[in-house]
Amino acid sequence: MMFSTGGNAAFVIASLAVGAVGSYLVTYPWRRSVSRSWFLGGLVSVLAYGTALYFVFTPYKEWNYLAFDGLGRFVAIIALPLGAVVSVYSMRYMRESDGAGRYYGLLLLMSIGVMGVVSARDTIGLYLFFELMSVSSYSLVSFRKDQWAPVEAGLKYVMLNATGSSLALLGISLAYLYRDSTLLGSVGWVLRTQGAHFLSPGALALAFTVAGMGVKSAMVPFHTWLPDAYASAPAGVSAMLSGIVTEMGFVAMLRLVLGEFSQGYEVFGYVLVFMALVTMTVGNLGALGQRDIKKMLGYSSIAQMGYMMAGMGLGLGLGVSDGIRGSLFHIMTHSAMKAGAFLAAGLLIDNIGSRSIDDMRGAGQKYPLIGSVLAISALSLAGIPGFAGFMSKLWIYRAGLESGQRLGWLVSTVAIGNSVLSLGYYLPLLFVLFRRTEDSREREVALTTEGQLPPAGTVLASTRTPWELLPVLLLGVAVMVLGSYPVPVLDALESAAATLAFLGGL
Amino acid sequence: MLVSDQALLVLALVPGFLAAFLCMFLKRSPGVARWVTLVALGISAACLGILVVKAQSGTISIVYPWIPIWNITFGLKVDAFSGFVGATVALIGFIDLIYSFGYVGPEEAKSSFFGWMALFVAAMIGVVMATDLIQFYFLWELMLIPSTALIVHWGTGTNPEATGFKYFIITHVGAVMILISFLWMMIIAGTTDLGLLSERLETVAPGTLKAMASLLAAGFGVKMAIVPFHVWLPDAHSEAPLPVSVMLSAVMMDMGIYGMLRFLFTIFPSEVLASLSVPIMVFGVISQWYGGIEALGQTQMKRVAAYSTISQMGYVLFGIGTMEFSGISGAIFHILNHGLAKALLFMTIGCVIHMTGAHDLDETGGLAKKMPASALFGIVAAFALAGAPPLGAFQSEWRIFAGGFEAGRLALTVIAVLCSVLTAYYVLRLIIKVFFGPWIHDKEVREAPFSMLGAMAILGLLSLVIGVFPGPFSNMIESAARVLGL
Repeated sequence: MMFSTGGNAAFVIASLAVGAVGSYLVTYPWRRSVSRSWFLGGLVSVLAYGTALYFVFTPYKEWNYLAFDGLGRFVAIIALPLGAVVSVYSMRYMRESDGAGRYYGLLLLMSIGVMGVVSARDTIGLYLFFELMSVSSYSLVSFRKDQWAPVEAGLKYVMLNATGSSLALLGISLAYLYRDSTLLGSVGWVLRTQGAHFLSPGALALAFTVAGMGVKSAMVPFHTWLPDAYASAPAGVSAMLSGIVTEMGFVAMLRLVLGEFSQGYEVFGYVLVFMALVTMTVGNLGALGQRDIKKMLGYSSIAQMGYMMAGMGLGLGLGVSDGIRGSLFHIMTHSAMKAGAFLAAGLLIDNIGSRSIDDMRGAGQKYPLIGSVLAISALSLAGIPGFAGFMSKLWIYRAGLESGQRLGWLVSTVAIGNSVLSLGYYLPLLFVLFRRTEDSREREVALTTEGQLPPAGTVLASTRTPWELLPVLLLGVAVMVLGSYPVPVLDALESAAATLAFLGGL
Repeated sequence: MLVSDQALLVLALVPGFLAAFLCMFLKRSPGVARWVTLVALGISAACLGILVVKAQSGTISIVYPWIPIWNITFGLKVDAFSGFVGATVALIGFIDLIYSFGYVGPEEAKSSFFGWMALFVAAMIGVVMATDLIQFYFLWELMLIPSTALIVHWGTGTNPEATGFKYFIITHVGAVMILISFLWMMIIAGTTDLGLLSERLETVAPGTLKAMASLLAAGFGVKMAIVPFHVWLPDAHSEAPLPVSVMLSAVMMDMGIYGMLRFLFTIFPSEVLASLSVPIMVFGVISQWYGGIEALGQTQMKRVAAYSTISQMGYVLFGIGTMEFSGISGAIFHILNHGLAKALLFMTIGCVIHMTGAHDLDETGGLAKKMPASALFGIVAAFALAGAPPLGAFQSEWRIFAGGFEAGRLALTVIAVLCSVLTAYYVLRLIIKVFFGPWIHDKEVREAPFSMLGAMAILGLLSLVIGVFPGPFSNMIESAARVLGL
């Protein structure tokens, strides 16, 4: 396949599969000792991710149905380390729930789905892996099944995403009807040969695919499941969902549409641009009103999905390859910063016992490491230079201006405006976290002298261990490094961007 | 020679960042942290002092590859202009830190205060040494984070968060305008190197260039708090802790001046600039008068000084708008002179606040009896700001106005000159109300501690030296203006 610099997709998936079975089996004898089972399961899971990552860097090997191209390899470089980080984090974060085997098994199955979607060579394989990913993510969202909120959120998630999947399948079948082939990009083929006018087969196939995969990638009219799902899922799962799984809807959409012709995707590009403008604005406006930190981050994920679509839309619609580069890089930077934000927020929520931002007064000073990572991630999400988010957004802004067309300028202006808008909720969060609190000191005194429990939201002494702090710190460092010296990952990025630019006919 | 010129460049930039980094680990010993910061800024200031002398005979620069695959470099460059501004920043930053020794105790301020201060100063030094557009933008925004942290966390107002929010958002919007212009230039020129831009942009239509230049002027105007964009300044400058107010008012504003001069004059051809001349002068005059009139109506001491900054930036903008050699060189000179005078004024106010606890003009009076040294420095600051002859600011103000006459804008210049009367009036009103008149304090008041007075003495003396022996300084600013191609 094109532009591959290595990797063995089949072995990557195989090692994840072995890990999935292994983590389930290894925890089974220890199911009565909850903390030991989380430790062992996590260990096996990290080993599986590590082995898988090793096979990403082995020489290129093509199997019948599975192979990496530049894009696949790029996604693997994002997804596998993220999975390992989440596994380490969950070892201790999840220690009070049982079901370690189930958790790690599902996590690895979800990762298999992710890897399968980017390495599958035909539409049916892609769809099957996509469903594997989706089904595991439904179960992970409602992992804490003894509470009502996760179950409700999971239900909503299943309903909407199953609808999305069927729509996408309809698009794939329609393409099969006309193309008589399951090659990737057949939707784009139909679009090209059957025309894109109203209710033509091409337009219908595109509409079904975009809408179907749009549900999974939280494109705006279909985004309603996301804030609830992210808020109710365990922090590690939220990080994984927003870091890579949601993006896979978008990547799968690209896989289904782009490919066979290497040209003529302007309509798809314009659709993406239009959806992107709506998505980022609605996401940010939604986040502005949130007082629940996880819901706020969820809405922010919707907005960030908008940035990815905007970059890709500019690339395909207006023919600016910088847009594709920015869009793909944003997948990577977003996964580092949003995962960092979710994991840090998870620890913070655990420590203070509340998800409400109003209860987090001064928490950043009490927990400087967690607070700093949250601050770094928030500034990065808002596109402040020096942090990862700026580096990718820069290319998206640039692509719009580079097109030299009114639409491009509009997209860039809206994207920049949205970044400023997002400061409207990130800055107050940071100010709350690092507020100088006279009353928190008083509360502490009250606690020590009277021996009573403090009121809700009071910051308690830290009970954290390196097992949880290490992944959070790693992600914080990753955000800083990607934002100030991204050179190490740029080869992979450029090869992924070149792959898509070739497929998109640039 | 002990260290090479290139090593000096690195040594001028790095200590601030290093000190900020170290302060993260000195949480338990703020006393050590503040000495680390002071030494770091001292090294920076000394290096820039040497560099500014060396730069008179030629540009010193060093370029590192940063992101080679995207053609982005990280360069440090000192020429006569950036050396002058950088040395001013480092010098006032260093003196301000000495002042803060007396103003805030180490326990009260905490290590992070000094760390943020070091980062703030280092970012500003980086801004003036930057050679690449992306690098410039990085450092430009890096100024924002420490200053916001300082305003929000140590702020003295009733709602420091609202102040910090307003400050961050508005100056960030200004930065975004700069970013759009940068991206536009990068795309057309195909380079991010500041030195290559002007020749690569030669063939671009004047209309496009004019739009780019206007965006840049507006973006830098936000940082300079030029009137329609000034709303962030009064609150931020008056509610920040005093040493931070000094940095914001006396130093950070210079970054806007630096950016405007550097980018407008090195990139754009003179026809484009000529078309912007009158609008810039008009905005300058509006800021001058608006700031002056507002300052007259304020009841809080720090707010008077804050509005006075808006007014003084109006002077500078007027000087830039003349597009004449004397106007520009006056604007450059005013970076130093306004910095010294405004720092001195804020520090005087700081002495009063620190020793009496009063923030309002009405709560003070007759302090000269008990605080004679502070009163003396206050008078020096007032005369300097008013542009009275034996002091430094006179040297820059006459150049600015001479530039206005040279440009042939008689009416505008007369209006601008008349504002000096207003300036003298509001600043003397402040000093007279605070230090003279009847004694109205009910408690014992002592003179400010030595570190505060010492810092002020350096500033006052410098201002006097510049006023009395302007020769070497005017050579410096003239070569700075020549760097800009005038």
